[in-house]
Amino acid sequence: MAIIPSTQKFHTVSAEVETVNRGSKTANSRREAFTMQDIIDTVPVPPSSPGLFEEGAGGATSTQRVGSGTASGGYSTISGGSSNAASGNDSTVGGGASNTASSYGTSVSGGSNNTASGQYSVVGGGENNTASGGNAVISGGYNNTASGSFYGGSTVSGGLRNTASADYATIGGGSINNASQLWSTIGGGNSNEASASRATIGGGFDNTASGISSTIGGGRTNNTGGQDATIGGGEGNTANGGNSTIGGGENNTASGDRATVSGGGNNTASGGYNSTIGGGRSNIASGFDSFVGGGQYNVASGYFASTISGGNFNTASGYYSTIGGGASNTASSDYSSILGGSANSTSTFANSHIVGTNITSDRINCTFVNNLSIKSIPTSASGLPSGSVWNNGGVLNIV
Amino acid sequence: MEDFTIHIFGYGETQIIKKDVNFKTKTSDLTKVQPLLDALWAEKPEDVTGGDDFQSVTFFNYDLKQWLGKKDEASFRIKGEDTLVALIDELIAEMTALIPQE
Repeated sequence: MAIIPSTQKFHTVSAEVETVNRGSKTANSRREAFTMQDIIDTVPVPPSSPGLFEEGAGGATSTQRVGSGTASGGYSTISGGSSNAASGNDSTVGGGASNTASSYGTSVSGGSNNTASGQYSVVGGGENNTASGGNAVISGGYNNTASGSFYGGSTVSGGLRNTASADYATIGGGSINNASQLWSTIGGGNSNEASASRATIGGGFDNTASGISSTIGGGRTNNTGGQDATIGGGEGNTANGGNSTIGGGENNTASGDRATVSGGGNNTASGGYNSTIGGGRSNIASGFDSFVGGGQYNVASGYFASTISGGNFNTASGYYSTIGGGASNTASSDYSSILGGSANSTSTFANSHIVGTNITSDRINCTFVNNLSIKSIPTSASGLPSGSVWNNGGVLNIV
Repeated sequence: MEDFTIHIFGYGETQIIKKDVNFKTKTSDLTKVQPLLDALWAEKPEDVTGGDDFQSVTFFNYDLKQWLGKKDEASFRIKGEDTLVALIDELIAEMTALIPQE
């Protein structure tokens, strides 16, 4: 398409002037002459249109090209569509229907019933979207809102009924998501809420990231209330502790600072700090630096570093107490341990250790067993340190 | 009230854990334990069967209670209901009075 330079001039002649047969036969055969009516007939203009390249309501500085509507702002433009309004200075509506660009530098490219009312805000398309924050952007979708302050910068890329209501808040898509605080982000999913600054939700359903800089990857009905807390996924998990982490699973709680629950169900890591549960069910790590590896119904509550590797119904409530596994064991004294078995208790005796079943400690600094069978016992005392045992012809001797 | 955890162990000790506090004492020295246990047992879900013997009973703040029975079907967990605040506070007060002052 050739562009006619703006300085180009045209000659016109009256209708009676012969414009065809004015040269040689060959030249005349190549010549065509048109009237202004031909031009009008060639370019289709809707009957309701105010006209082609018509001056807008904003005066000589506004332009309304094709379609109905009002370009009332200074240097505003409506390129097409119907019932659009470009009322802000330097505002633009590309097309569509019933779109409004009402503030300075705003733009609505198309779609219908969209509104760009925040300064320099943009709506790409879709329907019933509102970009009311400064520099807010909605790319498309339906019934989305990007609001915020004068400086704004909130973004909704698409989806349904999403709301990015704070400065620099972002929602990628999905539906009924709400990013309500500074720099909060929701990638997608449904009915998620990022309600603290820098909180992030990747997706999933009905998740709430209410701790500052907390993160939920996905899953459903998870809640990160702690600052910098993280939940990967799962369902019904709560990470309330600062820097706490839940990998997944169901109904787990990490309420201590830097507490971790990797997975499983109904587990609670509530220790003052650094409590950890690997998995299993209904386990509790409530002491500082306490650890439960797995199993179920285990409680590691000792003041510091109580440990239960697994098993069921075990309790390690002593300072630095340890249970390897088994069932219904209780390491309630400080620095005590139970290897496994069942129904053992170190009672109140510190540094007592149990290898067996149905044993209760009755003195400190002692190891208790049901029976002892020593294999490959030395047959000479030579070289053995004090306290060692050896087989002296079938008699147990102690060095 | 700062965050707290209370364990009542079936082997005869009760423990309170708060920030910078981890204190155990004999349950027999406490008068406020049994009323609290009775009240929580009365709230057990209908599908809980078996006796009220327990491995441990734990209160995580006021709104998460966990009864670990001697077997699976005698265990339960109640979340989101702070029905026992007064009884819990009484036990906390009783235990706090026993904590040695440094």
